[in-house]
Amino acid sequence: MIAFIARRFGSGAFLLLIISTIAYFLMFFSATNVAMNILGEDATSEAILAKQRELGLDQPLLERYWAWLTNAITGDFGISWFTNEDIVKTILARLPITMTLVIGAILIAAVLATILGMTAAVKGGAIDRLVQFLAVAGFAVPNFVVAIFLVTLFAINWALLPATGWVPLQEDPTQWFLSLVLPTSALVLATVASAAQQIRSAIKAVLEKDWVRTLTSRGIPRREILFKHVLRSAAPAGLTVLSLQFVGMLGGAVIIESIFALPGLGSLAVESTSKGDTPVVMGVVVFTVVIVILVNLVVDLVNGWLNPKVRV
Amino acid sequence: MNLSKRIGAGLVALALAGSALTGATPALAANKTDLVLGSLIDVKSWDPSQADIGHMAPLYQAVYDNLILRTPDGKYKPNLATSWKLNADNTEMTLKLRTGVKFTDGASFDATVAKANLDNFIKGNGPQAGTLTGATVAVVDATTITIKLVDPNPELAYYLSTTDSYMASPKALGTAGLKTTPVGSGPYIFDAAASSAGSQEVFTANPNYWDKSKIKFKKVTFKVMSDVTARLNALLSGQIDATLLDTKTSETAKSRKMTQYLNNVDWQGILIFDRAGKINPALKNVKVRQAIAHAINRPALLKALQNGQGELTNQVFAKSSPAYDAALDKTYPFDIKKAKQLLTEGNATGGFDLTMPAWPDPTMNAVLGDQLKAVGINVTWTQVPAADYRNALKTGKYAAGLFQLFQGTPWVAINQMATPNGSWNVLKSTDPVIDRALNSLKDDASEKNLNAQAKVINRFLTESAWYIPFYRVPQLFFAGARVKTANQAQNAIPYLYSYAPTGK
Repeated sequence: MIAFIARRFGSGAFLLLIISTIAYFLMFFSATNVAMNILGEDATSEAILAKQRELGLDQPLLERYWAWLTNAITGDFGISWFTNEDIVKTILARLPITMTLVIGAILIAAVLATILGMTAAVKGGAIDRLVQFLAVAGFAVPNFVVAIFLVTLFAINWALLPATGWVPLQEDPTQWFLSLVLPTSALVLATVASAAQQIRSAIKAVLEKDWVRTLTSRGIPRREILFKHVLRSAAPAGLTVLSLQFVGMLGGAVIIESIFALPGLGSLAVESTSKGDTPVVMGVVVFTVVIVILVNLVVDLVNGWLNPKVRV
Repeated sequence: MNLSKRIGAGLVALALAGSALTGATPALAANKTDLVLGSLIDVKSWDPSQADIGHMAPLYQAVYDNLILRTPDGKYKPNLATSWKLNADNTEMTLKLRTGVKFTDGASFDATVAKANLDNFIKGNGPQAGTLTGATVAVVDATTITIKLVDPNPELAYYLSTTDSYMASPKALGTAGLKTTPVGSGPYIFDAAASSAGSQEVFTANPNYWDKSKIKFKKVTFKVMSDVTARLNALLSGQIDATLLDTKTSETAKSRKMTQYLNNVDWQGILIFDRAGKINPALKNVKVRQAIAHAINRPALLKALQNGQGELTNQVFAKSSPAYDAALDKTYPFDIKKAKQLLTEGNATGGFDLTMPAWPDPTMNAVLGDQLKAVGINVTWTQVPAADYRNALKTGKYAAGLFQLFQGTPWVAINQMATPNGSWNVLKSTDPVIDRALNSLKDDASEKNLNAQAKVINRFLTESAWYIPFYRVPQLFFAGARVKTANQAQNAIPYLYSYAPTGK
C-alpha cells in the first residue's frame, strides 16, 4: 500500500510540474500589457515602463519562470500584482469557501444519486424512466440557470435565504449554513442527475451477475444483498463518477461563485486570469492541481479498499 | 461503518439540513445605521499614490480625507485645506491647511505631512501620477504649502479633490503595510479583521472625526461583486443598499421600486486615431471621417446596445460642460446618400476597408459593421481578449477603434483627447486649430478662456471627426428604500459623502 501511495505521489508531483509550467507559459503568451491594466488608461508611457520594471517584466521569460518555480517550491508564491496581498494568504482565505461548497455538494449528490440510481436499477419501470428523464434534464439545464431560478424564488420572492454572500462558520453557524443552501443546491442538481444515471447502470450490471442470483437462491434477504454486496461491487464505478464530478464542480464553482458573489477560489481564478495577475493565477493553478491529485488519490485508496485488485 | 449505515447517516444529515431550513428567516437587511454598497471592483492598493477615479473613489473616501472636497454638482469646498489660491498663470497653488486634525493612529496633520503625501503621490507611479508630473511641494509654514507645477493647470483643484491628495498617516506612509491596511484621517476607520481583499472592505465610524456631518452611518461595507446579476439579486433582496446595474438588469430594479440615479458620465463611439492616414490612408481625408459619422444610425445602435437608454450625441463634451454646444449634436444626421457623396469627395469612392479590434459585445460589431457596410466600408474585426481591449487600442496598431470614454471637466477632456500627448490621442495627432487653442491657454488659463477654448476644441473635434460619438451612456445606479444618494459630476458612481439614510 505504501508503494502504491508513493507511486501516486510521484506521478502527482510530475503532473503538477508539467501543468504549472504550461500554465505559466500560457499566461505569458496570452497577456499583453499587465502594467497598463494596473495603471489604467490615463497612465503615461513612462509610468507603464516603470511598472513593468517593478514587476520584473523586463526580465527574460525563462529567468522569470525559474525565479517563480524556485520560490514556489519553498511555498513562496509572492504577492498579487493587483492587490499586493500575499497569494498563499489570499488562497487560504478563499479555499475553505470553495471546498465547503464543492464537498458539501458532492456529499449530498452522492447520497441522492445513490438512492435514485439504486431505486431505478432495482425497481425499473416508470421510476427507472423518470430517473433517466431527470438525468437528461439535469444535463440540459446549466447550473447558472438553476442558480438564478433558485435565487429569484427563495431569496427575492420569498425572502427565505440570502441571495448572495458568505458568512464564516465561526461568525454565525446558522447564517453560514443558510448562505450555502442555494449555491450548493445549484451545484447538486446537475451532479445528481448524471451520477444517478451512472450508478444506476453500475448497479444494473452487478444485479445481472451470477453470484447475485446465487445469493438470492440461498435465501439471503434482498435488502442484505443490495446494501452489503451489490452496492459495494458497484461502488468503484460510482466513486469514479463522483471524483470526476468533483473536479468538474471545481470548474462549475466559478460560475456559481460569481452569481452568488462568493469570495471563493473560482471567482479569484476568473478575476486574476482576466486581469493577467500571473502570480495569483499560478497560485490558484497549483492549489487546484494539488486538490485534484489528492481527490484522485483518496478515490484510488477507497477503490483499493473496496477492491484489492486495483492496488496491483 | 458499512455502506448501508453510511447511507443512513447521510440521509439523517440531509434531513437535519432540511429541518434547519424550514421556517428559516435570516436577517437579510442590515441595521439601517449600516451602509452596504455593491462595488464593481476593489482597490488595488490602499497606498493613496495608487488611487484612481470612478468606482474606487468611495472606497478611498471612507478612510482618507482630500485636501479639497468636490460636491455632487462639481463645486469645490474646503476639506483638509481651508482655502487655496492659484497664481495668475496657473502654475502655483498655495493652500492653507486645517489645524487640529488627527489621523486614527494618533499622528497629527500639518504641512509637513501634506507635503510627504503629495511627494508620495508624485513619486508613487500610480494611475493618476501623470497629473502632477514634475510638480514640487514646499512647506511655507506649519499650516501652509505651495504646489508648483511644470505646466499650467487651471483645474488643479479638480485633481486635488479626486485622486491626488488623499492624506495617509505619516506613520504609515512609505510602509509596506499601507498597501493592505489604510490609515487616514477620514470619516471611517478600516476594519482589517472584517475585511477581505477582493471580497469586502469594512469601515466603522471614526469617533474623533473633525467633521461629524460627514458621518451618516456607524458602519460602511463595500461588497465586491463583479457580476451584475449578483448585484441585482443582492439589491432586490436587501443585502446591499445601492449599486450600479446595466441596461439588462435596470428594468427589473425599476419594477421593484428601486430608486434610479441616472448619470450620463461616458460617451461611446469610434475613436479615429489615424487622422494622418499612416495606417489607413483613407482616414486622412476629413470627408471620409465625416462620411463614417453620417453612415451611423445612432438611434438603432442605442436601441440594440443600450435598450434605448442614453442620449444621442455627436460631440464628446457633456451637456453639463461649458464646452457643450447643442447645435453640434445635429452635425451628423444619419444619411447614407450624404455619406456616399462624402466618400466620393474624399477620394474613397465606393468605400474602403477598415480594421478595428472587436468590441467585447458582438451585437455592437454586427450592427455597426452592417451600418458601415451599407456605404461600402468593410470592417474587419480583430478578435482581442476583453481584458486586453483597452491595451490593444493603445498599442497604436489600429487606425480606429470603439471605446467608451469618460466626459471629464474641460481641462481633463482636452488633455485626454486633444493635446498631442493626450491619453487617447494615441497616434499623437496635431492640428493648427488645436495648437492655437492650447497656446491661448498657455497665455491665459483663466476659467473664462478655458471655457472659450474648450468650445473651440469641441467644435474642431466634432467637425473634423477625430471622434465619432454615438450616444452618452447612462450609468444606471440604483438605491433601495433605506438610503438616498446623489449623482456625482464626472464620476461613474456617487461619492461616499452623498449617502444618507432615508429614515425608512
